[in-house]
Amino acid sequence: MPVVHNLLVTAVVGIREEKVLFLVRQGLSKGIDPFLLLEDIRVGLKIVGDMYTQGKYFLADLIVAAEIYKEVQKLVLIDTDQNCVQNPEIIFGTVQKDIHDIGKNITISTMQHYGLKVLDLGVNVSPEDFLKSLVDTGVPILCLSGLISDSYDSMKTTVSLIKNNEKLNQTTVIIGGLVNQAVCNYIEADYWVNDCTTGVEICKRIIEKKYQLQA
Amino acid sequence: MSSVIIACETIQDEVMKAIFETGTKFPVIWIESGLHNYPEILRDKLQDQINKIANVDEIYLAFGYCGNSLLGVHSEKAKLIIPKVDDCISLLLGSCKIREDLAQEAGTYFLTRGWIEHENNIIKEYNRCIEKYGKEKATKVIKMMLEHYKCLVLIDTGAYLTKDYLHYSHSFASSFGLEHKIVHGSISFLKRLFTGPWDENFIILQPGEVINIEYFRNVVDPESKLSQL
Repeated sequence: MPVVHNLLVTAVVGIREEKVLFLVRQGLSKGIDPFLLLEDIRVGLKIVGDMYTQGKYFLADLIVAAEIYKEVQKLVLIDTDQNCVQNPEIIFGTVQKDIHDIGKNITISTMQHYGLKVLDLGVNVSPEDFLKSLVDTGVPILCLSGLISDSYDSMKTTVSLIKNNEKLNQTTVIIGGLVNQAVCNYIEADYWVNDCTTGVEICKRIIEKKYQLQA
Repeated sequence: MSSVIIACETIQDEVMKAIFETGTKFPVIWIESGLHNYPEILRDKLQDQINKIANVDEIYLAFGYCGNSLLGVHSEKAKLIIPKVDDCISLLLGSCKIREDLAQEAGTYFLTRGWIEHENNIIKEYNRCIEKYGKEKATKVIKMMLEHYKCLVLIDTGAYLTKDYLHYSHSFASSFGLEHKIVHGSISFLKRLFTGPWDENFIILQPGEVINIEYFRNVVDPESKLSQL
């Protein structure tokens, strides 16, 4: 049913919540795979994200679009409870001195969409708390988020602690938010991203590689 | 010695006050407001302006680092003098330390007349959202954006009448359960930018040298450009 899929993507891009929910209900009633419907929403969200980067949408629009995604998740009965993550694969948090978490939350939703298990440590997380969490869980990926310049120093300190801990020499650090290659070089992180889809792809690749090595 | 100032239009009130108080005669080029959320566009506009300037010895940049907006900026022919601040809020409060102290008390959202009038601030965003999505959805979204904020500060820089904006900021703060404060700012940083002397709070780059992220961070090598005054 390509027409439904196109309409759904268009409705998400237009941030038209009622229309999106109507189309999802219609799709479900016609037996369309819920994952395909969610995938359409994700495609629409990616376009919304690109339009935000181009200055065509504002942050609030991005949030409304992400909220639509959450409503659709509820419709297709996907469990997104953050507080009971068993065997997480990724630790995520906004670094010390920073409290911005919109981008983090949207990225975590996208990661869950792809079946990744994320432990969210919240905001203003100290380097020591990240370290403890990594040691306790043995999680291979750490995602650090930050939107203000002070966050760069918190990220750098966190990376330094990890690199100096021999138990964590296989940990991959990904930074996101207001970052670029120069910031990544300064922090000495492994990757930098400023869109959630790229972040998900990197995480999936790392986790797949880990399972291949264990097999 | 010929000099020119390039300044962010958002802090026009404060720049003009600093110019008046110091008797500075250098011409000013304004970079348009509204670009704080788009650092790459802001950087391109700034670099474009610098490239057009010829026959000056020094260019004073009345900007903060503003989310990597200054990264890579350079002048082939003139010396660049830049305040070592993360953004223009620190510039208007007098130092990064004052800003950090204020922000440590609680998540703090800062406003000035320039931010209210020229930038897409949180209050404008709220009003835009009401028009687009209705009041209920707009309130929900803004609450999400302010989830970890506890305080809204109107900075009294002395360059505009805070009483003209008090109702605007106070009523918004009340609506969203934020503590409202007026904090005294300072234009001393801007005045020192225009007059010198330039101490460790300023970055001085020789012609051809490029602005680097490390110049703005705390872990600075003492032998670095910061000490080349």
